[in-house]
Amino acid sequence: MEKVMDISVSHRGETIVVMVDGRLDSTTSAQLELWVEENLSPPDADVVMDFSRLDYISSAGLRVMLNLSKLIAGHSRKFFVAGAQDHVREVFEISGFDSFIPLCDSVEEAVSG
Amino acid sequence: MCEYSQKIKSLEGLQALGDELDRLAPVWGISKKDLFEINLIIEEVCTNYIEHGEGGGKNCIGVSITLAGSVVLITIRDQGPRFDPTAVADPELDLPMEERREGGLGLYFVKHFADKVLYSRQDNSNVLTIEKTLKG
Repeated sequence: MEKVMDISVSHRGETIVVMVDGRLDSTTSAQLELWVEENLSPPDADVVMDFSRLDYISSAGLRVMLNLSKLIAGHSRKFFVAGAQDHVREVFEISGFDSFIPLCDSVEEAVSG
Repeated sequence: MCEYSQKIKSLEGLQALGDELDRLAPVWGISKKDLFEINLIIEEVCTNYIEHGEGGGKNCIGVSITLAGSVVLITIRDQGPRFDPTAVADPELDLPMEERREGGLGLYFVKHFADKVLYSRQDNSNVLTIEKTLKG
């Protein structure tokens, strides 16, 4: 299989930055869901998803984003998506998800915002 | 005219189809954005048939893609019980986060990114014909 997804984590001050590299689709979304369960339950800081290396997202990936967004809001933390390529950003916009998940151009913008 | 078809049985088969489309796209002159939308359409229809129907179990889902000029015709044939994706109501997109529910977005994407989506029931199969004009 050529397409996989890698998840890597870094910290910018108090903020957790989660880089998702590759594809977030019906085969890989369960991997991110499990990662969230193991690492962000409960979320103890604000979270930025760095999507600058995300090539593809489908409704399965958006489902994970919706649940993660609810989880983080439930713990009074902030959640951002940063650096999404235009076609990934468009999927967030046509879903109306950009009304509750701020889409930032970069991780820096998300962290400072 | 370019043509490609494949039968898939599972989500893994869907991934293999995506890999093959990635390989074909530059050969067929399909842009990255158009390829993204084509992949999305195919994934959303097939996952609906795999997860909500009986397709993908003992039965195969047949996917064929034809490019004629700047029009891509995607035909998806599933042998599961009758299911018309075009009849599924669109999700409510302006609900606040707390009220948003999972589901419904995939088929909405199909309708959004395609120019025409036609459903028919033929020989005990669901046949979805999707037409999309490439934007380049």
